[in-house]
Amino acid sequence: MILLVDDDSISRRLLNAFLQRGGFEVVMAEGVDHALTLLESRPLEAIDAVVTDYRMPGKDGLWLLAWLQKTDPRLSAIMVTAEGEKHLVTATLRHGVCDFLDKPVDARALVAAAEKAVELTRHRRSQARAESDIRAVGLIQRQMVGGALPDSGLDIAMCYLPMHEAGGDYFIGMPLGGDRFLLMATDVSGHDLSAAYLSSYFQGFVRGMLEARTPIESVLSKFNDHLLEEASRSDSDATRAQITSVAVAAVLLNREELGLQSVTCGFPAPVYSDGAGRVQSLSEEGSSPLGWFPDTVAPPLQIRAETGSSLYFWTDGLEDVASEMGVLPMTCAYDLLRARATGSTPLWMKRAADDILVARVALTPPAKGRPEFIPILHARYPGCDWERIDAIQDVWTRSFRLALPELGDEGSYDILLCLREVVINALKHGCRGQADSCATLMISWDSSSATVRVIVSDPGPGHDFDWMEHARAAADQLIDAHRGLMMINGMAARFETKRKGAWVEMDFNANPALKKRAS
Amino acid sequence: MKHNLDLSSAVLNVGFPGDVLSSNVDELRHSVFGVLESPAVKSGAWSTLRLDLTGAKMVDSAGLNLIVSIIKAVKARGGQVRATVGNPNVYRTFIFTRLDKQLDLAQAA
Repeated sequence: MILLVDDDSISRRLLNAFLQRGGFEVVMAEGVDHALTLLESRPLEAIDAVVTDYRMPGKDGLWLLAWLQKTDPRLSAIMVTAEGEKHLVTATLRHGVCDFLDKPVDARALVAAAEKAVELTRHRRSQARAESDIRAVGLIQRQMVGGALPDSGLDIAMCYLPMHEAGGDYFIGMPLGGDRFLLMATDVSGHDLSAAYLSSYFQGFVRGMLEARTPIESVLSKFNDHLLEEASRSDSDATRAQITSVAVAAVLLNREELGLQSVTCGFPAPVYSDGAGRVQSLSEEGSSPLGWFPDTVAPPLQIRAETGSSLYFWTDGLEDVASEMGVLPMTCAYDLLRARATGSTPLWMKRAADDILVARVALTPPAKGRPEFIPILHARYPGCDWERIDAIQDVWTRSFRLALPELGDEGSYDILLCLREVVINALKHGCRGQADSCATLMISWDSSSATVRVIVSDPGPGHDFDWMEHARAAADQLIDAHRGLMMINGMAARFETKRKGAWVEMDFNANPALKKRAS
Repeated sequence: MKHNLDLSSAVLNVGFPGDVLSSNVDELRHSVFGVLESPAVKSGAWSTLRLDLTGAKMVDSAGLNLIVSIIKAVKARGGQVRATVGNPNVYRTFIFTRLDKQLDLAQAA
C-alpha cells in the first residue's frame, strides 16, 4: 500500500490514478497532519512506500520525511518537487528518501519509482527481521553455552565473547547418565543462522549417540561421513566450494573413575592440568575438522585425572589474538578467566577479530590443604627450536607480564634465566635438536603460596651423570660446564629432577622479599 | 666489542656490548679469544684483564662458561680477571655460580 500525501486535490487525484493503474493500492492524505491521523488507525508496517509533495501548508514534505526516518527508517519515500526546488535534493537524501520526481509528474516515472520504493522497503524489512532472528538465536545460544550440569560437582567457569550475533562457537557440558559427562567445544564454519543450526544439530546428534553408548570416535566419524556425503550430493560447483566443517574438541568424563577420553578434530586441543603443576595437551598432533577428509577421526587419548585437576578449552579466536600479542594462548585463557571472575574484560580483547570462547572445568574440588597450581604458560617446542631461543624467551617475557604483572621484569628474571637453561638442555639434548621430537613447558601459579612452578619435560633418556655432583664440581674446579645447574640451585626455591633430568621441576617464590639472597 | 689494547698498561680492557647468551656466545668467544691469542696481546705487559659487563642484562650458563674460559686463559699466564657488572641480577648470577671466588667482581654504581 502506498501513502500519497498532497494538499492539491487535482494533483492528488491524478497521482492516485497513475498509481492505481500501476497496480498499487493507495491511501490518500490531504496534508501531513491528515497523514499522521490516518497512520494512527493502521500500522506503519501496512504502508510499503510514501509519495509526498514538498510544498504544503503547515508541515511540509521534509517534515514528514524526518518523521518517517525517525519512526520507521526502513520505509521508502518519494518526494515530488516543483521547478526551483532542486536545492531540496540534498535535504531529502539526508532524510532517507529513495527518489524524487519533478512536476508535472510523468505516470510511467511515478510507477517505476513507486515499484523501486516498495521493493526497497520490503528488502529492508526482511533484512531487519532476519537480523532480529539472528539476534534471538544468538541470545538462545549464549544462554545455552556452558550448559548446566546440576549436582554434577563440576565447576565450569566460562568466558564467551562473540564478535557476531550468532554463530557456530559453542561449549557445553552434558550429563550422559550415571557418572558419564560430555564436555565439548565446537566451532562450525560460518557466523550465520545455518552455522548456529548446524552447531545445535551436531550437539543433539552427539548427545543422542553417546547416550546410546556409541564410542566417541564412532560418533564423530559418522558425522564426518554425513558431512562428506552432503557435500558430494551437491551438483552445484558453487555449493561445493562452500564446504561446511565442524571443528570439535570432545572429552568424555567418567566421574567415578576420573577417566578421560579425548578426541580433537581441527580444534585447539583441550589442556589438562593436574592442579600440581603438570599440564598436558590432550592432542599432540594437528587434526582436520569434520567435513574435510575421510578417516579424520583418531582414536581417543585416554588419561586418568587427579583430584583437583581441571580442563581448559578455547577456540581458535583466542589463539589468533595470542599470536598477534606474541604471548601463549594459555596465558590469554588464564587472564580472561581471571578478568571474568571480577566481571571485567581485558583491554587486549579489543584486538580480537573472531569469537572467543574459553572454558575451565574443575573436574573435582581441590584437595584440602594442597596448593592449587593454575596453568599460566604452556607450550611444546620441537628440538630444532633451540636455535631461536631468544625469540621464544621474548614470548615467555610478554606472557609473564600479562599473567603476573605484579611480578615485574625484575621478579621474573630468575624464572626466565633458569627456564632458558632447562629448555635449551631439553631441546638440544633431550630432543637431540630434532624437529620431530618435542619438549613440553608447563608453568603454573599458586596464589596462596605466591609460587611459580616450572616443569620442563623432554622425551630423551636424560643424562647418565649425577646433576648435583656435577654442579658442585663445576663450582669447585672452575670447569666451563654445568654452570646452569649451579644457577638453578641458587635461584630456585625448589629444584628436582626425574627421569635422569628429562623431567625438571623448579619452584620460584614470587615474593621478592623471600628470594634467596646472594649473601 | 670494545677492546683497550694499550699493551704497555698493566690492565687490558675487554667490553661486552650487551647480553652474553647461548645465542651470541660463539661470536663473542671468537672475538675475545681473537684478541687474547694475538701475538701482541700474548706478549703484552698486562697482568689484569678487566671485563666490562655493564651493558649485560642477562648472562646465561653458556655466557658464564665463556667467562670461565677467559678466567682460565688469564690465570694460565699468571694474570687476574676483574669484572664489572651493571645489572644486579647478573651480579647475583655470578655469586650463585661462585664466579666471585675466581675473579674480582664489582657492581657498577
